Amino acid sequence: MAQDRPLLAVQEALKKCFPVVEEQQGLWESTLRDCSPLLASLSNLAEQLQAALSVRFQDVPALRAFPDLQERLRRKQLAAGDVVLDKLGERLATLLKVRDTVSSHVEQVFRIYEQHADVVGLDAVLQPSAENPSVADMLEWLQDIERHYRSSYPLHTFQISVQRYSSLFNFLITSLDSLSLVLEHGFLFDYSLL
Amino acid sequence: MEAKTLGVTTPRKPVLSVSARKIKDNAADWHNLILKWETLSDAGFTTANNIANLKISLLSKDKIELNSSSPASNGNEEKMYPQYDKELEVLCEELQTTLDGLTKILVKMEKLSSTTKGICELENYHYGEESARPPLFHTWPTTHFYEVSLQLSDMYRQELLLKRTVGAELAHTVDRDLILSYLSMWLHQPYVESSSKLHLESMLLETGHRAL
Repeated sequence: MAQDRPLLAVQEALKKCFPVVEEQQGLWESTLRDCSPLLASLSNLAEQLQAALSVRFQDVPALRAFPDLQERLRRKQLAAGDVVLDKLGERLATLLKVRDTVSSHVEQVFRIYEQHADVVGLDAVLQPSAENPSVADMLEWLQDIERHYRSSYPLHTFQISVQRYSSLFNFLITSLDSLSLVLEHGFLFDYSLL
Repeated sequence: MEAKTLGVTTPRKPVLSVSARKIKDNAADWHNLILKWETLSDAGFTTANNIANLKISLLSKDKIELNSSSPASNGNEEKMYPQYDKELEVLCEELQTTLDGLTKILVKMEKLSSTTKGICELENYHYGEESARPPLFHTWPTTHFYEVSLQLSDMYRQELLLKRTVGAELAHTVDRDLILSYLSMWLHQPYVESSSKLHLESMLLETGHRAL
């Protein structure tokens, strides 16, 4: 019985980890859902900015009565973009937090496994029971899940989308102060604020 | 002694409390008028958006016609697509109704500025130009209410002028970027500065509509 104790400790850690992963996955999905309308707004704003940039307001007779209009409009558009980028930044922070929460739980399980690995032995690790898959299988699943978040396509697409719009906004407001956010892997993207 | 004090204060006190009440009502009216403006402006944006979509779809139809070398296509899309013409007319009338509503709101806003100016003049009459006068509420001198009212009504007057221009031009524009820019102007209200919110909230705070 005492010999089983290390194996039970690893199985217990695994049991605690999977519900956390499930909960985090729910948060991940709902956060990604929230991002779609925000990205659509940002894309729309970028289109408005580009449109206004390609019109020479002073050449439009009806707009001559508004000499400062182009600048005023640009400022308002950028302020609106800023609000959306802030919201996207919050969502991105949530996604990164999900990734890190999952990572830390998975790391904890592996730490417990490594502590007991010698005592448990390879045979017990590979042996599934009637109730549970083998510890080795479950550890592998956890590793796969963690890798999924680390190399997640939605996360990267999201980062790239935000970066693309941020670059556009940057291009349009180079003289304004900018805020930069350094992500892991040395990935840098700027989003400029008014 | 008591009679003398009463004799001095009695004529002024009712005038001032009435002025304070009027200014407080004006602040609430500002709040309500701006809310109504926003609602109407949003409704107008939906209409303007429909006009823009219709125009852009007509422009792309024209482009397709041009590409297929149709001689009839010379930008006079209304003649070619009478059903669009009718639809566009209905939308333009709708936008005009919105602009009329916005004009009515502006008239009320300007009236608020003018009554506030009247209150300032009444104060001048009672206190004279030089004498120190207590603020009606917490810290603002009465003239400040007029300055804020004037700034707000100036912003909305200029904004209405722009919206009227958008209303007049949108359906006659053939440049896609300009159509999008007109829409963007309507949406973002470039002449209603972000400071307007601060002005309004400060006025509501000063008059006790908002708790400190």
